[in-house]
Amino acid sequence: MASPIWTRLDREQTYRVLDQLSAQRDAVVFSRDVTEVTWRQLPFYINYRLYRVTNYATMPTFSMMYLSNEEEYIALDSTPDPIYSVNEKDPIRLNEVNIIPYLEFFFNNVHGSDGDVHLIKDPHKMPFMSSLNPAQRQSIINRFKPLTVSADSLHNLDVSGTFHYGGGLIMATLVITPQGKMSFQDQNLLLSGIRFPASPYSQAWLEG
Amino acid sequence: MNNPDINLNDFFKPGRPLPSDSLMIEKALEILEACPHGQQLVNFVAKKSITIKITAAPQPVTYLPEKKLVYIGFNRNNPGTPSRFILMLAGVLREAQQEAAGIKHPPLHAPLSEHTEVSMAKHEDRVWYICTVACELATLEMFTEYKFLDELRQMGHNEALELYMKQEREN
Repeated sequence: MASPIWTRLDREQTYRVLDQLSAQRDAVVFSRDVTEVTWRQLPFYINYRLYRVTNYATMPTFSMMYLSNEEEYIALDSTPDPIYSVNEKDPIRLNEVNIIPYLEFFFNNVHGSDGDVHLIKDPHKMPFMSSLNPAQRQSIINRFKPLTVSADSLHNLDVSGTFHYGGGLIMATLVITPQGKMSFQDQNLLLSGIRFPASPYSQAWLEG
Repeated sequence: MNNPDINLNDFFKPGRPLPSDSLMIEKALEILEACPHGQQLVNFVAKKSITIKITAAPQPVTYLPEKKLVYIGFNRNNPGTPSRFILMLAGVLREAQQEAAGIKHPPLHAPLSEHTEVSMAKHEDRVWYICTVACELATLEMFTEYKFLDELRQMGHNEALELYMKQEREN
């Protein structure tokens, strides 16, 4: 999949967004002259878009992500709650075409207490693949199961494939309800001891 | 599942409950005050009425949008250790001190060379200050469990810490 396309707001639009943000309770302060606001559409929402607010006057730059319908701005805080809340409000529309973008968005913005879940679409394009030793690389390629999507009788979407979590490469089925809530089933450990290096700052895992 | 230690559904479990933001900030300042360079920062906070806020962020991050307002951001599900929080606070307060002293980031349209020179100098000063605070706190027996030097290495400052300690030994 190509990198998502972000649209940059002009100065006047940026100020309007920053004014709206600063009116919110407990809003994070952004300096007006050194902040860029970009947005992109998410294929599973109609009314809400993803906003990225970046302050360039810090090193490294400071960014916050929000879901917004241009009236309210809901900060993505690493927990699933803001996403589940927008799933109800918009409401979310999931199908076999947009389910993978939803999972990518979800796992890019929700971070667990024991690390992140990575959905592996193509082992050859996995970030950090080069940090693994040749035997580990080959094991991943050999054991990789491509993603498959199907709908069940309860209107849930089932995504089967290979995930990375907690140092393990796991084959599992992710069951996603029509409301976008999810749980893992039929987990099978393919490989353990796969640790990716941690960055002291941040890692852009899926999004450009 | 083959390995009971790895369960993907653990990802959805909430992290351990955290103390209130005000308590975390208060305790961090209290610990910083126990060492000379940390004390300077705590005095600076009081004298300049610096506001410290905590925000949710995917990765540990500090942010100084205004010279009297600092943010510490971390993942609420995976907040890291208290020592990381204290060292991050020391770093961003040092940055606030730089701003108060008129050492600011160049404007966005400034030449790249100016950005490189000023921003790197600011960064170097901040890292050096964090190293100083970490080493001072690490010598205090009551904070042994905090493992400040290990945390500093975890933050990616291993090389800076080694250089700092080498210089300290030579002085």
